[in-house]
Amino acid sequence: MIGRMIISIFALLLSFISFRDPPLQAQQTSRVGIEITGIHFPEPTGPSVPDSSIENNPGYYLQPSAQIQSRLPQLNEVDRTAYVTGFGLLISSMSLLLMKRLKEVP
Amino acid sequence: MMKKMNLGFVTLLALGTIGAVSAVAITDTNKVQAADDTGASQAGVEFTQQIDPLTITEVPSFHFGSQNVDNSKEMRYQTADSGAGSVTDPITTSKKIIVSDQRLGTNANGWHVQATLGDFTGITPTNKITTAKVALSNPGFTHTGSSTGVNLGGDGSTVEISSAVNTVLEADATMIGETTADFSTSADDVALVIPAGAVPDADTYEANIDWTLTAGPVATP
Repeated sequence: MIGRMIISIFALLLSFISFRDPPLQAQQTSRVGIEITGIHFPEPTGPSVPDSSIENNPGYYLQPSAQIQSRLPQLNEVDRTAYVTGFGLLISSMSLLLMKRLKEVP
Repeated sequence: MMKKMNLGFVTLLALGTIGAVSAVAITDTNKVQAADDTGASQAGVEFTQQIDPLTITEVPSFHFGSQNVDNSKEMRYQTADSGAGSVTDPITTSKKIIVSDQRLGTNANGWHVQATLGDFTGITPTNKITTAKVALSNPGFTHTGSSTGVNLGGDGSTVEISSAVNTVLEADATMIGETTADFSTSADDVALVIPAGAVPDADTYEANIDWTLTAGPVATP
């Protein structure tokens, strides 16, 4: 009697399992696209660059770069030429003025 | 197939009836009286479930045009009509999801649609966008009957399709027939959301969305 009951329960379980269908499913795939023609990259997020402006660093002078240093002699030559020319013009003017005064002396 | 079988059965039944009537007519012509001219016949029909009673017949594709991305903040782009794809043919934007549920009686227990967005890959395969999302909102629903039994997933107002499994639509057992969700009511119903710093380089990118329609309500974890 007990054996029959066990077999009946087992058969019932088997039938339940076998008749229980998996859930219906259907699948599809679609496409997504974008053309990226350019990017603005974010600003760096590291430590801020120290302020090296002369206004905020009194008494501190920036070292000229090698390119500027190489051009310094040229700048000095220009200055020297200007000074010599100016000095020459001054001497000439004073000489002319002096000669004019000497002619006026009786 | 079943429709053809049913049609054949009905045709046979009709032919049998015509034959019986003809026999009676011949009997009348020959003036031969049958001993008993009454009888009983049977007619039957068997309705069977379709082979694929629950199907997703249309899913949407999107192209978001040519964009100059600001990588310093999250960007949101609306769809264009079409554009180039990185893999095969051009991509034409379509904005409809159509589900057909032809199940019978108690077999109908509702359904839900879930979607997963893959990585965007450029023509240069090492260029990948992995954190973008497609946001869907404000769908217009149409149905052969009432469309009150279907809703947008998520919070009901917006669904973001990401690399995870995202529930897009949920329908109850009343939604037998064809249901359409159309995301073209306004231009912002579909948007591509790209987080800050997600784009590695300028390129033509393409990704797949995998859509899964499953019978029944969304399983609770």
